[in-house]
Order: sequence, then C-alpha cells, then structure tokens
Amino acid sequence: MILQALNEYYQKLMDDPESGVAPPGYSPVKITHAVVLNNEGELIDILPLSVQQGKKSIPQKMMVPEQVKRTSGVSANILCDNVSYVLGIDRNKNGEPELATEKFADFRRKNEIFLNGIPSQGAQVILKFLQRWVPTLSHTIIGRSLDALLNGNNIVFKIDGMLGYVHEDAKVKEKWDESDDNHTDKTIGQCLILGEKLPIARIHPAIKGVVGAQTSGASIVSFNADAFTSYGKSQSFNAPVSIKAAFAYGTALNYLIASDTNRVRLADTTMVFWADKKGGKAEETVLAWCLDPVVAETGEENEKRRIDPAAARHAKAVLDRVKSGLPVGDAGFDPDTRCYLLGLAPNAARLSVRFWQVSSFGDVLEKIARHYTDMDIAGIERLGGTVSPWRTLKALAVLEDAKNIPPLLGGQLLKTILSGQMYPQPIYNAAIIRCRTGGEHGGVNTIRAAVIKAFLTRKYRIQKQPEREAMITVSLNENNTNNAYLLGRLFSLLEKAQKDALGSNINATIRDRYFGAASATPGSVFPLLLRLSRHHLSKSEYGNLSERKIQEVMNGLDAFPAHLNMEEQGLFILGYYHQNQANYTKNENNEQKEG
Amino acid sequence: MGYGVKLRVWGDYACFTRPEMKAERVSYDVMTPSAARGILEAIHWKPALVWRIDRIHVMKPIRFDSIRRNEVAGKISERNIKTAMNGGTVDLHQYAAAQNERQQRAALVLRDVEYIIEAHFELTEKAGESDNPGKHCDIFSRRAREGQCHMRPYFGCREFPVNFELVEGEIPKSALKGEIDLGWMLWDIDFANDMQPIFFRPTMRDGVVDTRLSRGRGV
Repeated sequence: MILQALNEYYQKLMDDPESGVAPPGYSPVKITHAVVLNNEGELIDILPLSVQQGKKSIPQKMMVPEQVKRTSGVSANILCDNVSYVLGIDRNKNGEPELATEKFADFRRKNEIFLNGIPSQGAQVILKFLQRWVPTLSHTIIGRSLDALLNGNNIVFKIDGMLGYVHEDAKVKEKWDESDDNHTDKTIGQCLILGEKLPIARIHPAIKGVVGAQTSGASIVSFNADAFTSYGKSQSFNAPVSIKAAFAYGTALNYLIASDTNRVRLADTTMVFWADKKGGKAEETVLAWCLDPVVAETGEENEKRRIDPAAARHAKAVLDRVKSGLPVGDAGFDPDTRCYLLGLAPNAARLSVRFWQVSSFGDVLEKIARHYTDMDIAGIERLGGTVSPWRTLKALAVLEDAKNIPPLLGGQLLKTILSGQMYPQPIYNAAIIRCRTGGEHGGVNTIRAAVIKAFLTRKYRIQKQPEREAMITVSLNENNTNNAYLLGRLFSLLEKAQKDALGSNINATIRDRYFGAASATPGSVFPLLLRLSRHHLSKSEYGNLSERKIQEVMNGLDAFPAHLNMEEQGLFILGYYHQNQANYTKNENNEQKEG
Repeated sequence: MGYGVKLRVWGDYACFTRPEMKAERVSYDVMTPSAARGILEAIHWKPALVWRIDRIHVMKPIRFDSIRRNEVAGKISERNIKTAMNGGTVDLHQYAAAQNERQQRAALVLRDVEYIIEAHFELTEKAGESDNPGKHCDIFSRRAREGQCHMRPYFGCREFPVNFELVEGEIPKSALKGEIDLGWMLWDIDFANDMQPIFFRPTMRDGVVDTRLSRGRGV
C-alpha cells in the first residue's frame, strides 16, 4: 500500500510542471559549473553556474540522465558528473589536488559508447573532447578555477556558440530514452506495485534526507544481509518491483522529504504526508504547521521559518476552529481530502516504517486538535498555548537534551497524536520520572504536567470513566477528593510555607529533598514534613493563612498511604502542579491589589 | 466443495510481512492466503492433499504496533549443515550477541488479530488408494477440535503463535464495514516454477477477503 500510494503520487507530480520531479530516466542534480568546449573539442572556458543568494552560493538544479548509485569503486555517469570524472582531477586525503586518471578513463569509456552515432553537433564535439583530453593540473583555464571546481558539485557540458547544454540536446535525449528501454538482459517478473509483468529492479533508489540515516541516502527496500533473503533469491528479486515503479516511488518519496510542507521531523522519526488529490498544498501546509507550531511572536529560535507567516496564521486559525469544535469552514481547506501519513526512521543503512496511516485531513486535524486540548493546562499559555510534539519530547528527555530522547518514543508520540489512541505508557513514565528527579531544569514543569494530564484524561476517556475524566481539569480543582491529588496539593502548600518562612534562597527545599519520596511513599515522608511545617508556619508572616489552607486539604485526606502506584503518582504531580499554579496566580492578584 | 473446513484463529500479534519491506518488516493489513494455508498444514497435511483457501474473515479491527527485535544477519551455511549431517563437528549456532552478527530490526506488526479461515482441500495425484476426501476431512476436524497440530501454527513469524478452534455452524458476522482495496498482495509462491511469487489484488468487503478470485493461476 505504501509504495503503491507513493507511485500514484508520482503520477500526480508528473502532471504538475511546477513540482520539478524528474521524469523516468532522469535525476535532478546540483550543478555548479559548465565546461565550455569549442567546435574542435578544446576546453575554452569554465563557467560557474551557482547563483549568489546572500552569503551562500546556490548551485543550479538540472535534470540530467539518471545517475548511478555509487557506493564504492569507480562508476561514471553520462554527460554530467563531478570534476574527478569529467576532467580527471581530484583531491587527495590531505586536500591537495591530484589526478584521477582511472575515473576519467571510465567516464570516457562510458560516454564514448553512449555518444557514438548520435547525429548532433554537441555529441560529436564531446567525442572529440574525450579523445583529446588528458587529465592535467597545469591547464591555464583549470588553474584559474581549480579551487572552485574541487569544492563544487557536478559539471555539465556546453558548446561555444550554442544554446543550452549538451545533455539537453534533443537527439541526445532521444538516444538516452531509448537506451533506458533496452532491458534485454533484465529479469521479468510480476511487479508487486503495478501487478503487471515487467523488468524487475535489482537495486532500489536511495532515499535521502531522513534524519540519522546516511547522508548518501538509505533504502526503504534493501536486502543488505543474508538473513533478509529467502527462496534462493538475491537482492531485490526478493521483492519484485519493476524498474518503472521503483523509480516512481523513490522519486516521490525523495520529493516529499525534501519538501517544506510535506515533512515533519520528530526525534529519530521523519514523517511525510501527502494529499490524494492535485493541489492539496493548502491542506498539507496546515497539517505541517499543526504538527510543528512555531509561535510567530517569540523570536527565540532564529532558524529559517519553514512555513511563511501568512500560511502559519491561516493554519492557526483553522486549528483554533477545530479545537473549539467548529467546522473548518474555510475555502482553502477541504477536510474530506484523503491524506496519507508515513513515518520513517533510520536503522543502519535501512529505513524502517514506524507508522502508516490513511485518513482524511479533517479527521487528522481533529485528532491533532484533540491532542492539544488534552495537553491544555494552567500555565501553558506562557509557552504559546500549543506546545509542539518536538518540545514535548525534549521536556521528557534526560537533561532536556534532544540527544537523550529514547528511540521509538518520537514515532509513538506522533502515531498517538494522529490516531487519537491512548498515549504510550513510556511517555507517561518518562514524564513522572523527570518530575521526580528534579535538578536545575528538572522537577515539575508545565510540559511534563501537561503530558501527565493528557495521558490520564485520554486514558479515562478511552476506558469510559467519565467521572474520573471530569476530575482532571485544566487548573486547580478544589473539589477533587482523590487522595493522591490532595497529597500533591498538600506538598505544594508545605513547600510554600517553607518558602514563606525562610525566603526563596534556600539551598535545599523540601521539594529537592522529599519530592520523590513523597510522591511514591507518602506514608513515610508526610508525618515528617508536617512536623517541619509547624516551625515554618510559626516563623512566617502569613502563617495563619497557610495553616488554614493546609487544614482544608488535610480534612479531605483519609490517610497517608504507604505507597502510590504510577497512576496515583501522576495525580500527585498534577495536584502539586495545580496548587503551585494557584499559589502563583493568587500572589499576582495580591500584588495587583497592593499596587 | 463438500469438504470445506472453517477454522477460527486468533493471537496477540501477527506479521504477514510485505516482501518489499522484509528487512524492516511491515505487515500486510490482513492475513495472506499462503499464511492461512500454512496454519492449516500445521494441523493436517499429507502429500496426498492440497489446501485451497476460499475466504478469510477479518473479525477484529486492523491495528498496527511498532516493535524492535534483535536478530541475526547471516544464515547457517549449507556446507556446514552437510558436514554436520555427515558426522563432522561444526558449530551450527548463530549468536545474536556477537556484534557483527546482531541486527536490530524494527517491525510494524498487527496487534490482537482474529480471523476465520474458510478453506477446502483437493486430492493430488500422489493420493493412493487408501486416501479419500471424507477420511482427510474427518482427520482434520478431529485434530482441530482437539487442538492437535504437527507444529505450532504461527502468524507470519514463529514468535507469534496461533490459537485455533474449529468453527462448527454459522460464521459470525465481522464487525468491519465497508470496502477496502488492499492493494497488491502476495497470494502464494509458485514452488514449481523457480519459486516465483504471485500477487493478487484483493478487496475486503465487510471484513471478508475472497481469495478464490485468483484460483487457477500458478500453484
């Protein structure tokens, strides 16, 4: 289904001239220079083709005859390659220029075979060039731009006084398209994407741009160890995909990953999504923003905006409407458009599929809105209201370092957000553990509390326990009589009493010392904390007020249980967080009254 | 067709691997006919008979889950096995603990599956005088009723065992509704012809995949 859908998407891209995807037999390649030849096949100039954009020079993209997948060894391409093949100049390990005669020889051999007999001036001139060129470092023209050539990318050919490049010549193209169809020695079999009997691809295209995979690209269909093969078949004959279909799905997938609006990255997972109709750009952009909302106002991240501000505002408006349960009601967004979602993650040189979902944009957006609603908690507005899945994951990692995000978690979280299922237990556990371990950036923070809240809300909803679901609120719920929740609130009040008494510059507050123990084994800690609080209350200015609040909460408690299970620990943290937030807002109100 | 059987099979996990995603496994949405054949063969099979899968009823919603397992990269070489068979001393073990042998592989598998397989068998030319359809049908029914099998049937991977019971009487209606195009799917392997895979394009209607459509080709 996955490859089939990608194959269909490729057919749509082909119909859209703006998409810039390669037709079969060609690949888009970055070109930095053109070698200019005169009619005798002599090198007369080297033309830089990069365009200056600000500080960077951007190479041009051109459709050239499809390039081979180079893993090791020497293998030249037709009419376009890097400098080591085209001119036989390379850099050695120390970065100094050297000759690469072997590569040039291969380039000469292959191109001579291909160009022979093409009745076009360009082809004939290149044949002359290939015969007379001897790789050298001392050529004056090369000397002028040696550094740029060696740092550059691919090179194409141009004939002095003729328009266009040689690989674009009509006669050359004709020959190339023909040679591509000559599958005389190919294995024929039933293609598992198209179902027809066609020549089968031996090697599948490399997919580039998946985070964490090799930069030269990784394969989604590969058989790079003996154990993956069966029935006596080698390489991709284990999975018969026709050359045609393999090219199509590879091109479509590479296009999606390179796109700004069809791709979202989260930890080790790269997700692409696409619409099942032509011109689904608006829907795709909305989805891309919703999964990676960047608040336009805060300039904290100076990275390049993937989605332009106007589109982001549009997306936010759409999301807000869905969040409040209204129909999208927007001409630019058709909720019934079918939508494919594919999550990929690297695993050595291979890509693995983390999830695959076929749905409609309206449905997916509803699920995303549900996620953000579940994550709503007092204080989250200070983070912009919608916390992107990326930040959520980071908050759950050790030291809040993206490197420490456990593998699999990214894919699992995305999958839950998009499918509306129960959040995976590891995410909840991670949130609780991070809350308990504390540290400078640790402890209970808004995102972690939001994750706990979202997990519990969704769990109760899916398990159909509406009265428990109702107990989990956005901000402090004084009517919640759950023991664990009350204990969390009590802990927050005791901490406040300590702060009121001793000021906020205490080396180790009771939170630093006892939070972990209090949330897991309250029975062993709370009596001690209450004893301590007597001293704090008597010392503090507003002791009476604090004492009354502590009494209120204590009245609701039945006992200090010996230990709390994972679910209760979550409620404890939630109670603590809510009470903290409430303390904070009350303080603000007081200040306003005073002022 | 008088000798049809109906078997209810269920389990916690299943992975009917798509051939194109075999290294990093991704399962088909539903059981393939060849997987169903394997389950029936595990209960009763002889050279005298060949199983034909008629319909597969999908009883539970299609749910995926992503897991990772440590596996090995290589196969045990044929030569080593021959040596061992001739009494030579070679180590035939594979060690997933060895760094260069271990391959961590991710898999997108099905969770919590239940199917009802409708099938019948035909006698082959290997059937002798003592073979008759009634007898084999009885053997199968008796064995399935008592939970007997030659080897534990599994859902695509040996780690995902199959629970089975014989369905006697009406097949309950599947909870799934609507029509889903399942795309090109492995039907079976043509063992007689260089082990060529054969694909077919099933459609699931209200939870039922009719696999009879592709009969007459291959195997």
